[in-house]
Amino acid sequence: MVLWSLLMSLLLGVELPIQGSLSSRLLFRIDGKDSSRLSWFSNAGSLVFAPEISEQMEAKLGFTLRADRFPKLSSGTELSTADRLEPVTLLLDEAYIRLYNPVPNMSVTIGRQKVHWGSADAVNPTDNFTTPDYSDPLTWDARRPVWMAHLGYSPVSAFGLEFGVKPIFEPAINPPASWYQPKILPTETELRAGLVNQLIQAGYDSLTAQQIAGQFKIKVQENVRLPGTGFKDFTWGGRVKTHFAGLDLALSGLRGYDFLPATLASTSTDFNTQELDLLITEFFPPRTVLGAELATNLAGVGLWAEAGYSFYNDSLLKDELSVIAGLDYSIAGFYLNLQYLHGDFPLARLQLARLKEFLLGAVERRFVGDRLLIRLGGVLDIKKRSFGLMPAVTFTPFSGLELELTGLVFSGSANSAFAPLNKIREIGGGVKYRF
Amino acid sequence: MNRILTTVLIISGLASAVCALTGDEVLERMRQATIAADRRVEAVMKITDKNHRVQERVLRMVMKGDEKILVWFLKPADLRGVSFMSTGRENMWVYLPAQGRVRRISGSAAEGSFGGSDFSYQEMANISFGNCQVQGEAVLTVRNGDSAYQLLIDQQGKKSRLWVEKERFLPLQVEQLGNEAEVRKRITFADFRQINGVWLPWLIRLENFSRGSVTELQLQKAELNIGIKDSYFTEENMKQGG
Repeated sequence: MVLWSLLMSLLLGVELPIQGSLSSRLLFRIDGKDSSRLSWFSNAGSLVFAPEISEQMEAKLGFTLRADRFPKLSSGTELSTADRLEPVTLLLDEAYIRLYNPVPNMSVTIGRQKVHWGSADAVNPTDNFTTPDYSDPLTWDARRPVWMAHLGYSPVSAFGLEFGVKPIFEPAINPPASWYQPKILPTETELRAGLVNQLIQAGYDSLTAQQIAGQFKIKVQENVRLPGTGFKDFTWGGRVKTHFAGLDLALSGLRGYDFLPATLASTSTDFNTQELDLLITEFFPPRTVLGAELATNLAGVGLWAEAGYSFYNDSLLKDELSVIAGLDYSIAGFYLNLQYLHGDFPLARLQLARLKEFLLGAVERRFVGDRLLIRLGGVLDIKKRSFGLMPAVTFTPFSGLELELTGLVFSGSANSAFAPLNKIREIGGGVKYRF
Repeated sequence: MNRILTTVLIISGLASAVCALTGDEVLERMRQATIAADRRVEAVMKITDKNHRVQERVLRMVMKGDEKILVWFLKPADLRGVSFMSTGRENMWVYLPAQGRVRRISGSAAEGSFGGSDFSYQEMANISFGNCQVQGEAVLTVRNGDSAYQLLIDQQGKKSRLWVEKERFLPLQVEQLGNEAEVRKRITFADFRQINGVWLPWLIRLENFSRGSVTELQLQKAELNIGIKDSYFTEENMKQGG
């Protein structure tokens, strides 16, 4: 690493500061489906090279090596395949060149980057450039950088414009299947039950229908359609922001895609050959999102609201309004944060539950000269009374090192947002060092 | 001999009465002596907790007048790129590179710790004694061996005692008072150096009596009156990383 840094420094003739982090975290499932086992882990190392080129130019190159999947063997012959035994993912993080002041108060960034819009915490209906990363169940608002060009321009302190174009669409990253497997495809049992119903409707009695259905061959085909890479398929958007009289306001428009797929299913039943073909088409619905953001203070209370109205470009999905409004307050050393969401909560969205009413809250307090942080975060599906809780204790013995003890608790009745995570109880911990 | 001494005392007393300044005048003279049109500063912030553990941060600060300030953390690694901007009493934001976002700091959070130090966001925003109002008269006294004016000032409803050096009108010390007039924080300004006619404290030391910790801000480099425009204080520049 040092040699690499030295070599780059010599080649570029610039200082090449290196930052990075090492982390090791795990979750142990103590209750719920498949309990008493290690349900999730992540060992990751990241490096960021950030050469100091000039005041007008900045570059960054970062990557992460992440091991968060268990070894998987389908045959003994794979024992000679190291990447099946030690699955590691290499991820390219931010990798961009940024120019400052090509005209005064303008920045232009080209490359892999994070562009974050929105005034709310954790859930941002207007934030649709960067890809959600759900791979860490303990971090509900993580985002991956994306390839794009971004222009920011603030001619005066109180007014700014942004414009971005993203040519390549990258879908959201789901958690490892060992922690949670979203249900997208129907099971064979479900398909046969559907066939039985079909036969009963065609006039067969229940027993005969079941016998016939049992003899059917079931073929499932899955077809995933990613957005293309033509100009018309690009994601692009702009945002105008201003502040006055203690109020931050922003309006935005973005033409892009949902990060999680919608599913279309079609079946064809051939009674002569006794075959049932199921074709599942997964696609990323194109949409245009008009957004509005607000943030202010009132009597020491931080207030914000954010709304995104999604116009779906085809008739398969209904247009929808997603709104989040919240407040935060600090009192007697405690930090309180409460938000109401009419929209998609990330972990609920994984099982394709759409637009529910949620309350999100967090209370935290720091102790021991700010080195010990105790936090309780939670989310409640208001109508179905299902919830998720995430208590966490983080200790920073010295700058750069974090030790974490955490828990995850879900409760979700049938049809609630967190039904698939019902009764999951997990404890976990980890260590992270940044240098 | 006694008669001579009495005469001297009477004359000095009369002279003191003639030269006495109001609190507002002292504050104004202090501002004239210490506030540049703008300044760019690099500083090392040393935080010593009550168990004598020390943490260091390296900061770059750009200030204009007594209201606009933009601060970037350059070190340590876990804070690098974090920035803070204030453009007046109601407007404070923090930029967190990990989240890629700029967030408004709410009123109550403004009292929160700035980068784990004993300075609050509010104190960083008012580091040049902007938005101060003097209550009562200036009292001539001695502070840390220097003749000084003692003022009672009000910064957004919070009372503080301020000592201003009599000779050069430099701030020597501020004591922030609690509800019972107890001293909660003491800020000492030292090692004044004159650049382009403006005095700058090279060392600012904050003692936090409730936490038992101390934060020292040691300037490393300072440039004054370099023509920074109002339009410098933007979200784009917060993200620049200093």
